[in-house]
Amino acid sequence: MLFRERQDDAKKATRLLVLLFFITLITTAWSATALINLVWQHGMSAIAVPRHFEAYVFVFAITLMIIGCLFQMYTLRAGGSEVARMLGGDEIRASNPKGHQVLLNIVDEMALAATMYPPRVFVIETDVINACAAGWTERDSVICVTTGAINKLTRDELQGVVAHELSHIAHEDCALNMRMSYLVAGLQFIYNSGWTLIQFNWSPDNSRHPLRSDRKASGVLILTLIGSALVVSGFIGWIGGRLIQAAISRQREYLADASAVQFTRLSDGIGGALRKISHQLKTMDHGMLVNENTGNMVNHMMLTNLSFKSSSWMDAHPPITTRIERIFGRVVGDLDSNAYENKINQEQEQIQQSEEKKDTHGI
Amino acid sequence: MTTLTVIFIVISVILVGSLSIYNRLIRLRNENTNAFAQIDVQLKRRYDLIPNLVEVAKKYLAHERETLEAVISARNQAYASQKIAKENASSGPAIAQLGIAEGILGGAMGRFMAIAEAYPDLKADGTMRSLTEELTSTENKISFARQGFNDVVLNYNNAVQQFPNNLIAGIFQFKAASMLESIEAPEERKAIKVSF
Repeated sequence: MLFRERQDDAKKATRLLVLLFFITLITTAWSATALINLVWQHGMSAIAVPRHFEAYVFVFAITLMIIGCLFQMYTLRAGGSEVARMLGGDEIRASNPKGHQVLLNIVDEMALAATMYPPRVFVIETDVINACAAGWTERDSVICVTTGAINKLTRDELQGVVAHELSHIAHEDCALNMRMSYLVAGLQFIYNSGWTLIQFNWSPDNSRHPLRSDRKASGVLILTLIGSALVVSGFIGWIGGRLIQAAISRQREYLADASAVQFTRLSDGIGGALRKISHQLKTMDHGMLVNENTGNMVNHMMLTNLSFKSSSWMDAHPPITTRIERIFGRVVGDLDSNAYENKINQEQEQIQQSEEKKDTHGI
Repeated sequence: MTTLTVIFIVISVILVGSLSIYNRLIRLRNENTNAFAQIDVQLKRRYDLIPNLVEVAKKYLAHERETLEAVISARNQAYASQKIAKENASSGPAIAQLGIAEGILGGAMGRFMAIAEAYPDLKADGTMRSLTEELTSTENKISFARQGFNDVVLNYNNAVQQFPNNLIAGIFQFKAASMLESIEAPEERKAIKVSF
């Protein structure tokens, strides 16, 4: 795999998408303004318009966006280790490896290859092969690995998975995704505010009912108009923002795959792991590693989509088959996800049996 | 706008640009030093681990004394060479000697690990297993540290040699760094023979 070229491709694509995102932001605010202006001029030219009305609406839309952002920032303020704990992770350290010394060694090895500070390591109990990374800065970062990954992947494949996650930290993908989600929340807030405005206007309990003669019809119209414009442009902006956020996330996944090959200098590492995950997704029938509390914050950071539903534009991860193809340069089949674990268990049993035999002979 | 203003703006842009290029080159060069120091850390770890490994193996590998002794003596030789090389970082012969000693150690370790594979009792011993993992991990760390260093140097060389950075690099004497080449002594290439 020409990993440096693939990394450059992913970085270029990200820059384009981020630019597109900001264009979406500006366009949303501007289109709200334009819509209002359009209807105003054609329908209600009788009503007096304050000077620079458009500017006021534009600023209003931007303010709503900022409020939405701030609210989301507050909701998602958890640092890396809090995310790990919310997922039910158990921390392992050099002083207390809890049987996972190999994983700690692998994390140290990959941190050396990536020339970065090793993150804190958390282990999550589940058969599903998965891993995630979280954290704002390199020093504050954590990675979580499932026991499924530890048991079912060979050392090289586990190394590939860890390298993939370290790449997310090294390229600040978590921070990028968080910032995107703030902006998307801002756009969503515009949409929601529009509805609130309309509903407030037309709610039957509202003492300022439009049928009451003492309420100015123009006031109601103005607010409804503004509300509708916010709803329409907010909705388009919000959906557009989400699509772009997902597209950026997919590009960062490609970047992480290429970086995993760079750090391990081995396509079979991350490639083998993805092949086993692909097999597991097809053979496991229940949902995978779903944790309602963290949902959105973590979903983007998981190694793969949480189920094998057909891929959509909103997916944070590219389809596994495409990822495998990019790593190997050609279509490659799945690997049995249980074969390695079974082999190790058999070897353990043989060792135990031979030790028992020795004991009985010793008597 | 007067010509003077335009000239002023152009010069400001060039200065600011040059400053950011210079700072980036400094950062990248410091990364090189840091990455190189990591290799040293891992080498020391390996020298410390090997005697422990041999102690545990002695119990089981009574017949393989020559292999064990070869490992210990190669380890001591490499350790000594490394201390000399550290003090004379610029001495060509010292570095070359370290390279040769490392190669011999690599060969001895390779033979040792291959022989250990053939003794199931030794393989099953709990202490041996964790020591083997530690040694495997240490060897991995040494090569990943070297690899990391080479990747960082590549990044630095790209920054120093591409236009327009190369202009600033030339003025302030940033030179392209050299990467670590693999230390392959004839010993490492020798086929591993297992004797029962």
